[in-house]
Amino acid sequence: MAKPVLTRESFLGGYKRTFESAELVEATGLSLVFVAEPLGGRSELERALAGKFGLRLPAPGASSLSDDGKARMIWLATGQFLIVFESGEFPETRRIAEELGDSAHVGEQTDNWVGLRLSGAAAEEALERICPVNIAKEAFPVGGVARTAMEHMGAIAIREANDGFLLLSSSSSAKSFLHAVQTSLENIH
Amino acid sequence: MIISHPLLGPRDSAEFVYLGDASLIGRPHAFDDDAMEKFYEYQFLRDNPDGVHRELWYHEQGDRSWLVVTRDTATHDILNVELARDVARQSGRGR
Amino acid sequence: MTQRNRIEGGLVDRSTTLRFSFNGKRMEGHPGDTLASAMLANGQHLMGRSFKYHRPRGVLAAGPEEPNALVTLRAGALAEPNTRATTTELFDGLEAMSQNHRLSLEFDLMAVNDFLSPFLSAGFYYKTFMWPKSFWEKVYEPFIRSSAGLGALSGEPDPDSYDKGFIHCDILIIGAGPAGLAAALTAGESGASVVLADEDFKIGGRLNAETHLVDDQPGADWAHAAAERLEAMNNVRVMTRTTIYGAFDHGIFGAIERRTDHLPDSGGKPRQILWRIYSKRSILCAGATERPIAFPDNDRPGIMLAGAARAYANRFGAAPGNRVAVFTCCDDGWRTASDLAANGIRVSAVVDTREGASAPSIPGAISKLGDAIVATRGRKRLTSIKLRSGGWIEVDCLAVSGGWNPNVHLSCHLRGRPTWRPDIAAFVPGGSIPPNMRVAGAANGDLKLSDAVSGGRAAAAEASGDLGFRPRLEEEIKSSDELAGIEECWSVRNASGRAWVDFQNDVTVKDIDVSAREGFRSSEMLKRYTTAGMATDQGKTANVVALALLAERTGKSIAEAGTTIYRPPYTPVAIGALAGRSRGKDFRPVRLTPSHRWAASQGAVFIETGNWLRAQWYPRPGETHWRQSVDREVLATRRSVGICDVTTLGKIEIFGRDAAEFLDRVYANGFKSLAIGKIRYGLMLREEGIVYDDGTTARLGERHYVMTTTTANAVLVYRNLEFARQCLWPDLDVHLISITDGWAQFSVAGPNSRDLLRKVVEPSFDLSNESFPFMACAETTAFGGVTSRLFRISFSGELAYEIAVPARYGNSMMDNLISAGREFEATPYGTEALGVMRVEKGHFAGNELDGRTTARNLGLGRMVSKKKDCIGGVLSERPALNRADAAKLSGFKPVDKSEALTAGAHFLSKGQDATMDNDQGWMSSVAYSPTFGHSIGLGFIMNGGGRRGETVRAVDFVRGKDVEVEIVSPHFYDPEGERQRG
Repeated sequence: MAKPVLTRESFLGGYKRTFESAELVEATGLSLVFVAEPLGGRSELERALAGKFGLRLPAPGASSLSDDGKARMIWLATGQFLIVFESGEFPETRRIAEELGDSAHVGEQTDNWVGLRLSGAAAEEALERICPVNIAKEAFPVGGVARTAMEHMGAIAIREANDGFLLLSSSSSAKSFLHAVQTSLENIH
Repeated sequence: MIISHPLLGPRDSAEFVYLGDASLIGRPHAFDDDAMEKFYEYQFLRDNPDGVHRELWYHEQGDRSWLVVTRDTATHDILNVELARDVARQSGRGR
Repeated sequence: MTQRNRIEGGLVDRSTTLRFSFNGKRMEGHPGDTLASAMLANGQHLMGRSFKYHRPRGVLAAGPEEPNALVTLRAGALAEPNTRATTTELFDGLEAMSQNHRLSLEFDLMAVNDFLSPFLSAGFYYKTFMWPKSFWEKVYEPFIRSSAGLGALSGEPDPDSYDKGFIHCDILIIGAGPAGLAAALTAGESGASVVLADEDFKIGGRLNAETHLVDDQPGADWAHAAAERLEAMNNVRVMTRTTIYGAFDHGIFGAIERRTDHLPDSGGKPRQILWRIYSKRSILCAGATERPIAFPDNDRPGIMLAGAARAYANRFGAAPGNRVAVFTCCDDGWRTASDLAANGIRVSAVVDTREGASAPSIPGAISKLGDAIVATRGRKRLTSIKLRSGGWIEVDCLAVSGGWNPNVHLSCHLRGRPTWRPDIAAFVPGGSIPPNMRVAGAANGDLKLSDAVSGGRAAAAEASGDLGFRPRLEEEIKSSDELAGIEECWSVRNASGRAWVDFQNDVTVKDIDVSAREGFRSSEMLKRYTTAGMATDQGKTANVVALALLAERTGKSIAEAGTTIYRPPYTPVAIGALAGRSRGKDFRPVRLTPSHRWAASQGAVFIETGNWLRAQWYPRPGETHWRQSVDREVLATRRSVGICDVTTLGKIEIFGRDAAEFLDRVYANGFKSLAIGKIRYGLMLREEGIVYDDGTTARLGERHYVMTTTTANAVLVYRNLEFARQCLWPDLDVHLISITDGWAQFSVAGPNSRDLLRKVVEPSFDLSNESFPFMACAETTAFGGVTSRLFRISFSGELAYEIAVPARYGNSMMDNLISAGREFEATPYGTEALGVMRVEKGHFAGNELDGRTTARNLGLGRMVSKKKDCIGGVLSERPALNRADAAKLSGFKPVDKSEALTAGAHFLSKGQDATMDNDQGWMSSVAYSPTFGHSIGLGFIMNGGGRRGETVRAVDFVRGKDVEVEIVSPHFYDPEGERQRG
């Protein structure tokens, strides 16, 4: 196959900036795969995910890591999930679809989302300016997932570590989303 | 207002879109003899109670679930929140 | 020495001097001062002019209730009018200007109003400016406009920024006075997450202004220590300079935190933050506000509330006067006398309306019991007061106490009504307070310190206990106690002269008389008729006095008369804070198409469509009018090939074993027979039978479809599909996920589109008409291996495709398509050309789908399948929607080809009058067609299908047009569709 002539451009040009007690970085290498549970097919899907990919279905408002720790499966909606991983470190959409066969409905979501990783001691304080959901540690432990709106944009916040969040939002408004998070970081302190 | 989502816990009502009376779940059968009359009632006739009201809210900025919220329209007390899908199934809706 | 009234003591930091100016006059103060306390320390009593009569006014209060001392703070664009000097924390370089006067504060031309007061009594707006009618616009309105209002806006954009935020807590405690601090300590120690908010910059509330002892130490010291203990608790957040301005449903509170108002400049940080606080429990410890007594000329500078007078002396080290008298109807007034005396201020007299008041001895003061003040003198500063018992006393300050009103406001924001407690002569929070709120301390009518402290602790113990925390209550907080006896006194009777009730709005006792006499006898009517309780202070000192007087005059008890409704905000909130970041280009998010950067580099003109920015047209050098660009783009596309970014169309992936069945029900036309690799056009109805959206759905696999919606309705369609999936047919196996942003999707249209695509699509993919015909779709690769989706659909009427690649490739795809298409002069086109081509082709769009049109109106009546159940199917058969003469989508062209058609024109038969009775329909879309060389239009006209060739008038009164048009087929261009199928 010929080499692609198209250039793949990240939505935010690989943004990266260090703030006082926080860092904000565009997650440029993420892959996102939509997995839905066919009606009545939960146990079959669970078996297939566990057997083939070492994945478990997360509970509402939560996520689960694959056995190899390479992929995180997040709860999107009843019967709907998103597998998030660094491209190349986990099987891609096509393979997941093939392997799961009739036990799942699988769709590609990668370019639908822009990802931002916000980390550092000030991360929570910055998010407090835009996130209406309680993301305090006690209410929102590592692995927690909150799908909500930030500055009028749909967003998903995932606590990946004690002081680290992955934020996902629609890729078309990536710049506005970055602006929202960045302004929060600039406004605190 | 805060709506206590059955799966996700308390969420600000700003995340939701309001539709109206939960009776909209009870869509009539299209091939009944009096379908036109039933659809007319279903679509256009609504109660507007000063008090307890079962109504549909959509968690648009969230998990996209439709909820049936039982709310007192006079006090905004929310008495119950259910997944509309469950309510629909309980009322006999299926395929 | 400028601070001639500065005295010993208080909580100001004398080691630092802050310089500020008032009306250009240079003054000095210290950290810990408010602007008002610093002005008093500098001997500046005259601070403003009253609203209506322009009476000279001094400070009345020492807190947020202040009606008089309103100033404009800062200068230029930063100027903020109507700022209360009593809550403005002093900073170095502060500039304040007085308001509401012509010429100067000292000599105000508008003070003539004071002599016109007989004409300006209650309801004067409604009485005075009625006649002659012709005077309204030229005389009265300009006069009212120029004299109304207090301060003036700068008229410039606000250079400050504002932010918003969300705080979650178990227990919100409102007010950090003795009750609030006791509550916070108890709640904090229980382990609950606590927010303690206070509007003041110093924790302590009245403890800072009083000489009470708590735990054997001065109250202010105890408060300071308590604040330090709270700050050390990880589960407690102490927010000073934060006003809880409103209570909303389900434990939500609005708060405004003033971050930089006390600093010389904001340093680029948000000036204020509007917080939404989500609490599980709340404890209102908002304290109480003192009220004045109405007596003649009780508004002179130097007359202030008794509690304020001692706050200035005790907390701020500023003497409110040099010879002070106290006028009271309650024990609390005596505390002012003793505190002032203890501060070395000469107290000349204490006048108590009560015959039997227990009168402590105040050194040097005469005590007058059962007496009252019946007159005062001194225009710009009080000089003397007259007692009913006879004789004038020379004083420069009169401290007045009519008792204390609990700050019930937040307990009433959910329409609760306070109840009257005769023993303290005040309203207290009533039975219907916001759920999960408790009220403690003076706000609850517990006016004694020990009651406030124990009430705060008890409320916090209950609240934390409710939430499963274990409060520890072993250590007692000891506190001194005080007398709090009162006998109601609202106004001094049988005294002549104007007696003020509402200082800010210049409402006097006489105005209340007039209101009652003229029939405005309910509290709400009184407010509207007299303006009592309006404007920036919302009558915090005035309301209870006004309605007590109204009750007297209408023969009701105060409890019966009741209060007006309390609404947020408790104190004014800047509009800028409510707007937060949503200003200018940040008003809402902007969505960019994948080819945005490329389009911008080409100099495209963009248009907002919802949140999207789309290329409207791409001007080329030499093109000076948009029509030149658009005509060129249309002709180039029709002649060869054009490319348009159509990513904004809603794209929804639909998965499931029952996806076909589902589509069949949500579209009016059938979808069950759609084969894999095929696309079908679909029409969506609302349940009442009206068309609301249309689009195409492609079947990519056995259980996999992708639906497109219009750009405008993407969100609505998705919502409705979820409704159908979850609420109507919960047991269909269907899943939805939006993919609008995931694919960069471009229309490649025109006779050379196939040849262009052949250059970029995977060579083995057969694009021939036979293997990839009109309405075919496929997943393949393009541009050397990039995953792509190919759809053979046409909005322009040409041979056309839509090609999609993952969005991150979109910008590059545009570049590559244009390069690959150079041999065909491939031309990018924008939304205008897109619109022109769709009108030429006769495709309807948003203008036609205006919420009233049926499939029949659109000429697609037969698409609504009667063989199946679909949303809108049954009600689309309503007789009124199916009249034989129903309006039909038709094409229109001007008889005189040089005429331009206008959308919105109505159709009339020739010779008929242009009246609604003769109305036959309307023009919905028009365009200049470069293909045909004249204006064309789409519209709806009665019986349209059968009237082709008829000439009617298109009348547009808005634009003054009356054009003869011929009714034609809506499909101007290639009516048989040969080009798109070719």
